[in-house]
Amino acid sequence: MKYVNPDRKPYPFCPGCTHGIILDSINDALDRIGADPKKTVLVSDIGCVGLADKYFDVHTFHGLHGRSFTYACGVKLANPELQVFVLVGDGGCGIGGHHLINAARRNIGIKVICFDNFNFGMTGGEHSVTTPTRGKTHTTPEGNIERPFDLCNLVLASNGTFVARKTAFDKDLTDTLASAFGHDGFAFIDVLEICTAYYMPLNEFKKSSLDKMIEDSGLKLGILKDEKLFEYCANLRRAWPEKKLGPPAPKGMEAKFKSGIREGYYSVVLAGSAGMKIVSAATNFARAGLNCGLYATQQDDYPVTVQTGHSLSEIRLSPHQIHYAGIDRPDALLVVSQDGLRVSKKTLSGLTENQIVIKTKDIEGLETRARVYEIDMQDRSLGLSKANIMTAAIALLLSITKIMPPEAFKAVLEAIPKEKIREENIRAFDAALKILNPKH
Amino acid sequence: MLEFVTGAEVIARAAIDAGCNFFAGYPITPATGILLNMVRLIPKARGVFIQGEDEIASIGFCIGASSCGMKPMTATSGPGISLYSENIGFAQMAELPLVIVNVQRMGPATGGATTNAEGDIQFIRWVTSGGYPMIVLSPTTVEECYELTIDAFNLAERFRTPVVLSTCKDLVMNRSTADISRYKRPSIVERKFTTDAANFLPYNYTKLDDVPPFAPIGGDILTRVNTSTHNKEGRLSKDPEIAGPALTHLSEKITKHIDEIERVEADVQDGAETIIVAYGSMGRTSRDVVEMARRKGAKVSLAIVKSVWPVPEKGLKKCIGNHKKIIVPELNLGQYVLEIQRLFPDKTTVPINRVDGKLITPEEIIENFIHTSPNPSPSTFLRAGLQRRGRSSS
Repeated sequence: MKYVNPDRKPYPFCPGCTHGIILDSINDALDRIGADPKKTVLVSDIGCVGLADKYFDVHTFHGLHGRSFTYACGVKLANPELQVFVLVGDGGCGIGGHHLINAARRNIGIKVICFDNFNFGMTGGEHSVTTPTRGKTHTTPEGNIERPFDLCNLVLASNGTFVARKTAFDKDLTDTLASAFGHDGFAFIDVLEICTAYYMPLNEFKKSSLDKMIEDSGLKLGILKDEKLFEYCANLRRAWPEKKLGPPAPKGMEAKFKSGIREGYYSVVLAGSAGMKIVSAATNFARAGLNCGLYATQQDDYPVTVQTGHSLSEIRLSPHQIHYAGIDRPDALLVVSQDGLRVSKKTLSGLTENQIVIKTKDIEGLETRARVYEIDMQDRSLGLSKANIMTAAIALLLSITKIMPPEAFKAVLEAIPKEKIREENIRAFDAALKILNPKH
Repeated sequence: MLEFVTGAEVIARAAIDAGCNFFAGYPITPATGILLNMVRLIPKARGVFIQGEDEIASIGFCIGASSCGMKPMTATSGPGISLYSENIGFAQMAELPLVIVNVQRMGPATGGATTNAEGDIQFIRWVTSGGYPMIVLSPTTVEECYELTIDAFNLAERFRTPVVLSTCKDLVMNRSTADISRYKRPSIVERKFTTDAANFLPYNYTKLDDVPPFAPIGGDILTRVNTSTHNKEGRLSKDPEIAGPALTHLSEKITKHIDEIERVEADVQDGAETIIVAYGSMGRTSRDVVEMARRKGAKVSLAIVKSVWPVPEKGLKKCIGNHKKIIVPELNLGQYVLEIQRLFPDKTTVPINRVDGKLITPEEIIENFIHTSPNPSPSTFLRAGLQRRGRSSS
């Protein structure tokens, strides 16, 4: 079987360039494993070797410099039965190194063949990540002061499961390539070769210099690792159900209660500290609104860290669709911690006697013209804690204002799936009613 | 029936309903919600989810999957769009469908992760070299998140091109009420696969505005995907007689079919002299503005631009008609207003801008056409926008 179309040859490479030898070897290795051209995908990117795709009669994919690894992974993830191999240069391994190490780490079953000639050929002989120290290129005219990557070591360190290094002159290159193609997992073959256009003339480098360079650099040759491990794309599919399932249907809420809000908006700011379930309580409050056929919006604000700092939610309720979700002056402010007070000071200063503030008794330094109600978290008979205090504050607000029947809120709390959280919240709800009617 | 949802949940559900079977993304606020919803939904639909090592890998995976005939989606914010940029050009060049959700946040650079802004609106249009047309849709409600996500997939498949759903933190991260009866489900458009194996060419067009029939990588017909300028066979070619038509084709296949893309919602009031033109979160706020203004007895019209790019010129011209004043509120320093001024040079345009992370309030828009006080006093941020243009009518 011919994978390289003989009618398209000769290859376009410079005289003496070894790219063609490697490509022929790939052809033979594919033949050796009996690859079906329709199930074979060549992925290449920028660099001289990127000119190769048009000579192959397999599926070909030519992409951006150094990103061939990502396209190959995308193809393999989409269709794991395909034989996907990447032709890349040492330049591509430099710019796309991040993708190389991650494809190796994940063990995505693509085969990467690096045409490693220690410099950028296509752009005219600049240094790459594999240019030897002291090597001359057009961007290291006095000799390279950087130290090169050992690409095989890089892939080994990334837990790549098949790693080999060969030279383009090795008689058994085809054998190694065939082993790589047969490996069920990620494979990397670093093929050392010569660039007759730039690296050789600039460094008086001969074919025989390659062996010396390998020795001087301490590069190991041959198959360096061949390990069996579950291939990623097949592994990913093990979690799939037998039959395709659609997304869950929207969880619609019927209006079972009647709201006291007839027109306009009712806005509430809920302020506390991280860890006080402010956002959850606010969502429950909004859902209670939906239980009354109200529309709601919720905006949250908290630092990127968890369990520290403030947590703020803003709820708007209205009998008609709400678009703008911002709140300039809320009808009520519920503050349950000193952090909460800190972030709602500006809101507080705008309140008048027409608005309500509900606060916990421990909060100090709250001055306002609004009507203030207090909850004593220390009153053991109430069973309140940091985790349910905001629920109590909401329930109290509902009892005071009649914006909606408290039962609308209770119905949401009763539907909380986790028992402990549900009970905690219902306890807070009941506590709020006790605060208003201490006798009961 | 009502539900209380984030835009992220709705976008993810819509993607699955649209047939999305591949998602790759990298965590970034405020787009992470989409990633988190997709990781739960897509494996159940027997689709692939992968968190890339970065944004470049994420879009690269999507492009590879699209070449196999999958329907991929990715989601990010401004910093991620910067990293997608080169690959967006690749998806255009290789004619590979792909849906990109851009959940905008305050820029430039890292900006404000959890802060509202819509400053990418020109960036997303001119995101890649060459300036070839981008299709960009922008929802204003959670219900529209559903419909326009499906539309984005449909347009991507129809035109074999990347399509962007442009949103922002306000709609995607925050919860709001959706009226379930208002979720519109467009019928699904599938990619046109070739039926003529014998004469198949990967990039075959007869007329420049044709969309070439597709054959997947790994299918029975050998195909070629190419990021470089190529001939119809997908082989590298820089011959001017090949490159010129090939690149013109990339533009014309979209611009000649703009009628299929245009989405403008018009709410024109008889006798109104002022019209608000808005998109995204400002489209959302403007719906409240119109209601509030009309309740006060003022006359005002509204044009909501849901297909931001290519500019829906026909739809806009129809709504703007004889209105004298066009108000363009934007959460940036005035970007889309440039298109409005280009289209309507003889009208008075009033840009209203805000870049402090806060939404423009309905009142800030209203005071530009209902003068409640003798000297309307816009905030510092608003004034910046007005002075810069020097086109304010008041």
